[in-house]
Amino acid sequence: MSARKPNNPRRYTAHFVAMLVIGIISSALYLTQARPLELKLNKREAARVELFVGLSHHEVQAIANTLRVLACGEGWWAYLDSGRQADLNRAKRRAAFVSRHGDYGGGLRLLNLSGREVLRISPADTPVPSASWVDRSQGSPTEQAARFTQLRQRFLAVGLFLLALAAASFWGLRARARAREEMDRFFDLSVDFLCISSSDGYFKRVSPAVTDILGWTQAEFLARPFLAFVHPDDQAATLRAVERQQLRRETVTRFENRYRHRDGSWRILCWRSVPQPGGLMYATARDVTDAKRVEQALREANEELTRSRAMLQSLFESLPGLYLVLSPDLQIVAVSDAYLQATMTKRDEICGRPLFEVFPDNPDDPTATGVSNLRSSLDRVIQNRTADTMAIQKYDLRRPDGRFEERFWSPVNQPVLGVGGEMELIVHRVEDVTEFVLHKRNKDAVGSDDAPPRAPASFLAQMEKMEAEVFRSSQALQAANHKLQAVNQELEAFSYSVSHDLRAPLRHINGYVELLGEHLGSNLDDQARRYLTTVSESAAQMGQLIDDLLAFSRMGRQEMRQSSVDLNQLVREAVGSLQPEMAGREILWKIAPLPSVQGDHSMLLQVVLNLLSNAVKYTRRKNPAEIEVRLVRQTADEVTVAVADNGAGFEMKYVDKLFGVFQRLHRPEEFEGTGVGLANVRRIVTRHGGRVWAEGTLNVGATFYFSLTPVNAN
Amino acid sequence: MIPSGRILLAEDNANDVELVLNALKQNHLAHEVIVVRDGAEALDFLFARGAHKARPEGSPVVVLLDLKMPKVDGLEVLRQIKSDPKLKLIPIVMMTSSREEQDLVRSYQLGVNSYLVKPVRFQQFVEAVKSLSVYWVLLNEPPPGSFFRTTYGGQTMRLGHPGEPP
Repeated sequence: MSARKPNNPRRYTAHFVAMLVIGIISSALYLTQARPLELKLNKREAARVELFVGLSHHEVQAIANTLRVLACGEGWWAYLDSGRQADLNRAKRRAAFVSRHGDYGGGLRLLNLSGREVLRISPADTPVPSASWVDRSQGSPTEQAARFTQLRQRFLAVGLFLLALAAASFWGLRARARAREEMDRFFDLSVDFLCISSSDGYFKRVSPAVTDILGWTQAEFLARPFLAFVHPDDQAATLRAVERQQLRRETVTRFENRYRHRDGSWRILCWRSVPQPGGLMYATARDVTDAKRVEQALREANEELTRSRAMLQSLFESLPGLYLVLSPDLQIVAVSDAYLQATMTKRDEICGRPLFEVFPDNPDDPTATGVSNLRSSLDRVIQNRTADTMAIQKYDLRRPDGRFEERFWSPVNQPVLGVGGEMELIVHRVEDVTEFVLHKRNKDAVGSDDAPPRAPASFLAQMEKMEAEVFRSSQALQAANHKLQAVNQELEAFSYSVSHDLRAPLRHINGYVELLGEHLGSNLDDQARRYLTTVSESAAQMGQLIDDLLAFSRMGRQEMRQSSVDLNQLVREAVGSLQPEMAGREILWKIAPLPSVQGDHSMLLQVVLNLLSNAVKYTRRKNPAEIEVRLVRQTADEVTVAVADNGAGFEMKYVDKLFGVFQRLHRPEEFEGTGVGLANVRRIVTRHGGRVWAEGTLNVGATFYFSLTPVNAN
Repeated sequence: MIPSGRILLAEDNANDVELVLNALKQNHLAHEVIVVRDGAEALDFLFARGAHKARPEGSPVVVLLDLKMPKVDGLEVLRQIKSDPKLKLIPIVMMTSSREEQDLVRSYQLGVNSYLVKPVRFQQFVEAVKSLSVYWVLLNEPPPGSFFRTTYGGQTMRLGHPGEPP
């Protein structure tokens, strides 16, 4: 199909029809116009041309019957054509033009108007094939005739030419139509969608594959500018690609963008587009969405594989046990870091090398059996495909300096079988028991002087006993731990529930009391009002209790973050946050410099805050109040601090109750509180490994002591 | 026309529903509340499915979400809202009885917009609910697609279980 005239089959048809019509007209002109001319010519010539023919009457008649004078180009053609029967009248008429004019020996002579002989035909020449004659006379009818004949000839020539052309164009047209049909078949067949777009931003034509790929019908797709289908993020790139074609005449290949599918999803298309003159672009688009997805999934899977392989490898290498992985032909395949450390080797120096080349027997020890024992154990593993536990082995180690060091090992060899049960790898796990063996040997040596090392059997029995014991106790420990964790979780869940479920009814009590008060309004007498207030306050009090209880319970379970804590700073922080309670009060503070201690900052702040807050609260009736923070004692292992006040104090006989949860020594009307503050103080200090105690005298004051571990203690 | 039903209250406890509505009454927002009585119903409403399939389009300007609810708890409702591309725009206020660190952290991880510990004292509770609703309903510019001047279920906008107080 022509690139520039994609839509012109009609033009070709018009050409064809025009040529056909002109051809037919020309031919018709030849046939209709030429004949009367010829006859007319003959009649005219009859008046002027004389034919002198010295022939017998029969011969003349025969000639007259068949004589034709044909107009041709510049001259006349005459020929005799025997054997043709003509109309007798016509023959007579013609015969009238022919008269006897002497004897020319049976020849035929044609004279022109001026009597000059222009043609002579002798009987010997009969039948005369042809003879040319040029009319040199001045008679205008002849010239005219010549022109007519020329015209007639041209009609014929033009007619034939145009007919030929028409035929040619007909064949051309058919070939074109066939080619176009073939092209269209491919166009419609393509799995990728093919399209032609123009510089106005619309597709001009698009193959039906667009419906398979994007869901739109062809008409829908042609109805909107193509950018309307392009993902907003890809529009700029798409315009750039169009520009490259329009302005720089570049072919764009492998350009990808996202097109909107009719169902709203996006499909990734891969374009190949060629610019054409006149701003057109011919393009094919391939749907690569699935391919991309698969590619992406593959890449991710691959990355995941690499990652997990690396993770597995590093996991293996960082295992605390001593592991060596061997191939069935006893080459070292992999090794854990712990093994490398225990054997003083490096990974890249031993991996890929035969086991016994890396770990040979000590040549200085003629009794060394390490290699042979290990080899027969490994042989057993390969043979039986089951794990093989070896007795404790003396297998000396070659140090990097080439000298051998005495070492004892407890190895286990375990096969790793493939899916089909074939031997794939052997895992060789050892424990370095050198220290244990040497220790044991020394101990025995003390008993019986310079006794040789005890037989391995007795070691083994001892070892097994110890191992079993360790195993048992660790199991018990683990079980206890699990139990503890479970209890802790239960406690956590319990307090979580408490905090939610106990508070909600309190809120409701409070809310409805309030609403009741509003509802009754002025109908409420003072007594009723007081009752309602009491209900509200009790509920609020209970809310506070729940909060404190939960905080106390949490404090026991919260994880401690150990650091160096500056007690001076804690005191400053606590006093700062007590400012609201101290408003309008006269308090004489005496705060001594304090050391730093070890502990959890926020927990210890709670201790100082609770003690100082108590001091502020219980000195409320004293003016001025006196509160003192002093360092009582400081040793290498213990710091003791006291907080003393001149407040309400307490009777020493109740001192034991001070630090109990919900224990109070005062009525709420005197001093508000829930009785959790000091319980918390004790819990925190105890968790820090310290002690807390108090001294007091009723109405004179109280002193609270706590001891903690100083920084830099042992 | 009075704009109605712009607040979605998910609360299982009838007392709490009444107290919240009472608090909202004080700044004339009580009629704005659509009440759902557990997490499952809250999700049904928000995703316009189940019993709420035929509700008008749009989202509440704020969801007041109780943390402890039967069937689907508040955290799960929050998670589902915030993982839906359309619903995640809706401001969510978590309302709870107590300040539990783990709930607080989890809620903010899930993208909660506000977290209210309901005070025990009613006056404080009223104040809290009032300022909360004034902020989210009257001051805050809600995301596009929120309810505005729309009605649902006729005059009353409450969608509690039949027979229960709103």
